[in-house]
Amino acid sequence: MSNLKAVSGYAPTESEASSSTPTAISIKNLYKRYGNGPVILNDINLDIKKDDFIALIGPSGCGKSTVLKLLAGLTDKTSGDIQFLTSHNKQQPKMGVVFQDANLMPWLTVMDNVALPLGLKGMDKSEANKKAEALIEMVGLGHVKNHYPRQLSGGMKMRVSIARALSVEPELLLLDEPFGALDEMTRDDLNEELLKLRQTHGWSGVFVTHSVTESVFLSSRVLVMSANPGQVYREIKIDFPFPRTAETRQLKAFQEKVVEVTQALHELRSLA
Amino acid sequence: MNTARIRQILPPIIVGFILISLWYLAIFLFDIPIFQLPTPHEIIEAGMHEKGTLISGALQTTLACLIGFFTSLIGGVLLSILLAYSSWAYKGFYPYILLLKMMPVIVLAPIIILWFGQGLASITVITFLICFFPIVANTTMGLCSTDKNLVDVFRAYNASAKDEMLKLRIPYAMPYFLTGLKVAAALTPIGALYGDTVAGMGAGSEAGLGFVVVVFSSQLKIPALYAAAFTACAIGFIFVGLVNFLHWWMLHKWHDSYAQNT
Repeated sequence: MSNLKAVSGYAPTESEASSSTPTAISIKNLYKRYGNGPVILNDINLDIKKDDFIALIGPSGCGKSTVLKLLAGLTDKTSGDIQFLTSHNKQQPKMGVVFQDANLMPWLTVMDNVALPLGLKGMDKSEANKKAEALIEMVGLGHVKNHYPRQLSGGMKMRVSIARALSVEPELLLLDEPFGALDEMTRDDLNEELLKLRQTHGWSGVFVTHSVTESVFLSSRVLVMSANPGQVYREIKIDFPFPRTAETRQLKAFQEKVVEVTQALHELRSLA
Repeated sequence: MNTARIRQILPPIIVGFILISLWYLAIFLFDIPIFQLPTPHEIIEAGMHEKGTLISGALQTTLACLIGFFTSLIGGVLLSILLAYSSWAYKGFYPYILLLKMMPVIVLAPIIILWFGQGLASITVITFLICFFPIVANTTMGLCSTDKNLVDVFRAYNASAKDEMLKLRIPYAMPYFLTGLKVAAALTPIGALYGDTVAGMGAGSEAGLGFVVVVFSSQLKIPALYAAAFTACAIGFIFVGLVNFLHWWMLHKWHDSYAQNT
């Protein structure tokens, strides 16, 4: 069964994160290709700091989702190195994943979906439920905790998915185009909520997106990737302070960053 | 009783009433003799008269249904899990399962009787063979079509192979399995009755309904024959009804097929 023991207590690592920013994950010379197919990722080098929130953006086929899959251990690298530096035994750190399309189990209630990763780790059911309940309250879904996914709207499903990812008290949160299927209003709301959650829990994060505005709003760094083969084309630092709110989007500096990222994407297109 | 419920129940009652009236009318108009088409009340009368034979026949047939259905359910599910676990087993076994399916039970029946003799054993084997395929085909399909994205969720949280089977693949396959079960349930009484007509035994309480039908028709007890046919229908109805209820009970809360009811 699971070799991971139940996680004890609910202690955010926030204080450590704010005092210093050591590198949490170091990616070196990462290559990936499937069989004899084309090279998907070509020499990716990336240091993820402990308080980093990194956005990966780029044309389709640039391998941004593959980076997440490699981090999540869902596929194997061809060569190169991914080092987890801050976790205790240099093993995979505690990781939460938010997938495209929420990916909830349709036969489980909201509560059971959120508690699922805890159950898989062998946590006692009543304890898991207690944690799940707190998280469901936090994402504002207390009133539907016994509902099934088919009864929820797209935005609610995504909230459940985020709560599920947070249930394992992740040190690293991976998000694969989480809000791609949502309307813009819901997306903006969830973006703000996500940052609030990050403020209280202090995970480092990597997320894939197609939305330039979203990438600038959420992240501390935007990595613009180019395709065929996938590699990092440009890194753009986003240094507005957290917490960011709806007003942040109005700032002139914000608009400038959006333009900068958009321009980088345009350059890529003219190169291709 | 609310109006919605009345609207549900009323049409079949009206249609039933019309059908029975037409029945009587046809017998009256065309002067149909009782040995071709008895009237409903003659059938009920004959049924009451042969009550003992019909009830014991129904019990015997129900027993054959239950044994055949549950053995094919257990066997079918176990085989499906094996086929889903190992693609080697799938490739190896599937042609032969298909072969078994293609072989008509009517042709197999004499061989089965040769092996298991006259009586309940052969009848349940025949029932088993008829039910087995829809359960295996549907369950295997369900177990093999687990949503890749959901598998990723389990893998990302380091789920064990056992958890992946119990908490993901089996629940995911449940609607497929239950659909196979519905098909099997409708076939079960057919299997048991057919088995009865070829392998049934006439000795008193061992006579199943299929055998009773054969006896009645050879004795030209026509109204009783009709009564036996309706008794067989009732068994089928109960069986399919129970499985449909199971389908509803397992799925109505979460599955899309019941979404309009919530």
